[in-house]
Amino acid sequence: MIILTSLVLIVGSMNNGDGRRLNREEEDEDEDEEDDENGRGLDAWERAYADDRSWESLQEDESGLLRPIDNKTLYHAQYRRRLRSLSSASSGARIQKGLIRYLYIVIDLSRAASEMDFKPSRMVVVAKQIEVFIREFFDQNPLSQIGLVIIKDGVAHCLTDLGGSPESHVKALMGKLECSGDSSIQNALDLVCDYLCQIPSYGHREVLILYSALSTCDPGDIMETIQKCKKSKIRCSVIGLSAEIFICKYICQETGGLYSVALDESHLKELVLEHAPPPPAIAEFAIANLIRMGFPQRAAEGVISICSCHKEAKVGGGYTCPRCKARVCELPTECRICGLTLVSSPHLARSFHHLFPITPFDDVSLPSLPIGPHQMLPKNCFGCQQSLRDPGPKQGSLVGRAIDLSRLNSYNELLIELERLFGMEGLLRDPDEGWRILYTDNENDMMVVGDDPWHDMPISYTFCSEFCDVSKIHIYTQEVEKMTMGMISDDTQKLLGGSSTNCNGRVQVLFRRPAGFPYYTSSDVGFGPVL
Amino acid sequence: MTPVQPKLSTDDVSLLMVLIDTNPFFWSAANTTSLSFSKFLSHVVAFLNSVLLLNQLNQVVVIATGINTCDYVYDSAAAGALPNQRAESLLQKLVEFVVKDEQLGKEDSVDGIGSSLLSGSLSMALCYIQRVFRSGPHHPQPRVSVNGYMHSWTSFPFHRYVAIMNAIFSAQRSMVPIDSCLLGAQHSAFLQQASYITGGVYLKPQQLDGLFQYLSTVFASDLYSRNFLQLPKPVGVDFRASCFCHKNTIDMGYICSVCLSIFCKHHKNCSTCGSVFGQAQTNAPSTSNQKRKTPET
Repeated sequence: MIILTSLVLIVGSMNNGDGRRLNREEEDEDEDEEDDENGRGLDAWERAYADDRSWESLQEDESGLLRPIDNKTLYHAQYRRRLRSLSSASSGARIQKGLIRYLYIVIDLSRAASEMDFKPSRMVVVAKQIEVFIREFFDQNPLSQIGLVIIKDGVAHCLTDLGGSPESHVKALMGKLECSGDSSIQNALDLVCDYLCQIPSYGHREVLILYSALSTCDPGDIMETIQKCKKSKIRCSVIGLSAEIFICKYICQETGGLYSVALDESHLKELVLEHAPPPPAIAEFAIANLIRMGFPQRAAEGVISICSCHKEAKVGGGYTCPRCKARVCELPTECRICGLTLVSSPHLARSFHHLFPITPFDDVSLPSLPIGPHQMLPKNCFGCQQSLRDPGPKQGSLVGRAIDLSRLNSYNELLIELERLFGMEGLLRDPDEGWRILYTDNENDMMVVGDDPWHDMPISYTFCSEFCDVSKIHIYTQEVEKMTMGMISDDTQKLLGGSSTNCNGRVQVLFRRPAGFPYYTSSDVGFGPVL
Repeated sequence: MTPVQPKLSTDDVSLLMVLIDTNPFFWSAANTTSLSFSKFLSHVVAFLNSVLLLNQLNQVVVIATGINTCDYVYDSAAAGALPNQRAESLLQKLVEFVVKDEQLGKEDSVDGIGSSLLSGSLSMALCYIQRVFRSGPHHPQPRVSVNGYMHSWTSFPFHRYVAIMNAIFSAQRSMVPIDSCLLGAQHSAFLQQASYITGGVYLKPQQLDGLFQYLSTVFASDLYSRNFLQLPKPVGVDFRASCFCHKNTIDMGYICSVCLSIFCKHHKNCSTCGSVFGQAQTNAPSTSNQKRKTPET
C-alpha cells in the first residue's frame, strides 16, 4: 500500500518537464513556461498558444465569410441525447434525488493554477466557470446552499460560509484571485468535513474540488481523511485540470462522487455544469425528515422597516417571518431571530421538475400518425401557429463566393464562371430559366448586368473603370427579385458588415439560393477563399 | 426568486400576447354585479386597437382561455387580417371558440371544477414567442398580458399547479414579462407571483367601468417607456403555499426533505413518497439540530 505525504501517482502521458516541476522552487517558474512554449507534447493541456492551429477551427458560412466553427447545435444535440438517456434510465425506477444540498466548492489556487494552458490562465477560467455554475446551481436547487474554500500555500481557507445568495459568493471569489504555494487535498477535506458535520441530517453533503495541481502536499495520512469523509457521508467529486491523478480518483470512488479531467475550456464548462442538477441520492446518506418552514409574504413596496439581516432601516419590499414577524431581505434564508427556515412557494415549485420531470418528446414519422384517409393534417402548429404547409419564407439563403473580374474578357465568360462557381451549368446563359444577375456599384446603386451599352468591351474595362466600380454581384430568380427588391441593399449590408470594395478586380458574388435548389458546398466544387 | 429585469432596447416595437378569460362560470357570476362579458370585450378591443395604433409595427395576438381548451382567436400579423375588420374577425373567432369549449365540456367532464386553463394559454403564448425569437435578430419585444379572472389556487389540481409554475419559470428564463389585470373580487396569488418573478405589472382595478383607462395607461406602454413611468407598485406578494393534506393555505408548515411535499401538521411518514421520518439518527450534532428544527407539537 502506498502511503506518501506527497504525490501518489500520475497517470497520463506526462513528460519529464512536468515531473521535475514537483521538486522545483518558485524561481523556476519562468523556465517552466518556456518549456511549455516549446510545445513538445501534443496533449491539450501542454499546448502553447503558438501551437494552436487556430485556423482549423474556422469555417466558411453561407455568405462566404470566415467564422469560428459553431458547435452550439452539435453540443445541443449531444445534450438532448444525454437527457433522453438519463430520463429513460430513470423512468423505470423512480430515483430519489438529493434536493436539499449543502455543497462546498474547493478551488485550488496553488502555483499550478497560474499555468497558461487554459487562456489566460487556469484560475481565471475556473473562476469564470464557477460563477456560471453558482448561478445555475441556485436556479436548479433554490433550497440548497454553497460555500467556497480555497487552497493556497498548502493551507485551506474558507472563503465564504454556507449561504444561499449567489452574489456574495461570486463577489468574494473574484476578489481573491491570486495563487501561490503548494496544494493540499487533505487540509481542504479536513476543513470541509468539519463544516459539513454541523449541517442538519436531512441535507446532502457534497464537495466539488477543482484541482489544478499534479501533487498534494499533506501534513498527515490522507487515507484517514478519506475514510472520515466516507463515514460522515460526504460525496466528494473532483474535476482535474491537468492530468488524471490516482488519489483524486480514489477519493471519488470511496465517497461515491464523480471524477473527471477537463480537456479544454468548453469541456470544463460541461463537466462543471454536470454537477448543477441534483445527483441521485444514496438512500442511507440523508435521513428523511420533516422540516419546519415558513412562507413569508412580501411586504408592499415603499414601506420602511428595519431588516434583521443587515440591521438597518430599509425602504422597499422585504419578507416578514410568519413566526416572529422579523423582517428579512431575501429568500431563502433562515430567520435570524427564531431560526425558522424561510422559503417561498415558487422555490419549492422550482424543484418539482426534478421530481416530476417532463418526459422527452418522441419523433413521430408522418405515416405512423393516427390520421384517417379523409382527415387532413392541421394547417398550423397547435402551439406557435407556424404554418406547416409552407415552412419558412421563400427567399432562400444567401451563398457568397469571390470572383476575379480582371481575368475575364466578356459577359459570356462571366456567366460561365458564375455557373461554374455555383454549380448551375447552363442555367444563367439561358434567358428562359429566369435568372437575373444584378450588380451593386460603389454608390450602392443596383443595375442589371447586360443592360449597359458596352456589350463587346472587355469586362475588366466595363466593370472596373472609374464610371462603374462594381462591388457586388447578385444572382436571383425573378420571383425572388420582386420579393426582395426593397431590402437587397439593407440585407447585404448587414450580411457583409459594410460595403466591400473592389480591389484588383476581385468581387463578391452573392447567390440567393432558392429553397429546394441543390446546394454545392465549397468542398464539392473547390474554391479559393472569399475576398 | 429574484425578479428578472427584462431585456430593454430603444426599439419600441412590441408583440403583445393577450390572454383573455372566457370562463362561463366566472362571467355569469360577474354579470349581475359589475362588468358583463360584452362590456369587457368592448374595453379589450379598444385597447387592442390603441396598441396597434401606437406603432405601425406593433403586433397583437389574442388567445382565449376556456375551461376545456384554449385557442388563438386573433393575430394581427396573420394574412387576411384587415385593419378595419379587426373586431369582427376577433368576435367571430371568439364565438366559435366558446361553442367549441362548451362542446368539449359536454363530451368529457374532467376535473369538473370549472377553473380556467391558465397553464395551457400561457404555454401557447410562450410557444408563439419562442417562434418569434427564432425568426431572426430583429424581432419585436414580446410581453404577455393576462386579462380576466383566475380561480384561487387552492382549487387547482397539483399537476396543473406544476404546469403553471413551469410556464412562469420559462417566461422568466426567456425574459418575457407577464402583466396581469385581475377582474375578480380576490387577489390571485398565482398572477401576483407570475408578475413578480417575470418583472411584469400586477393590477387589480378598483373601478371596473373604467377598465379601458387602466389598460391603456398601464398595459399599453412598451417595456422601454416603462422606465419613465410610475406604474402601480405591488401591494405585497402572496408567497404562501397550500398543504397537500387539506389544501389549506398556510404560512408555516412541514416539508418532506425527500419529495418536498407540504403538510400543515406533523406526520409520522410522508403520504407522497412513503419515507418514514426521523429514523436512524446516527451522529449527535445532527440530532440536536433536528430537534431544534422540528419540535414535537
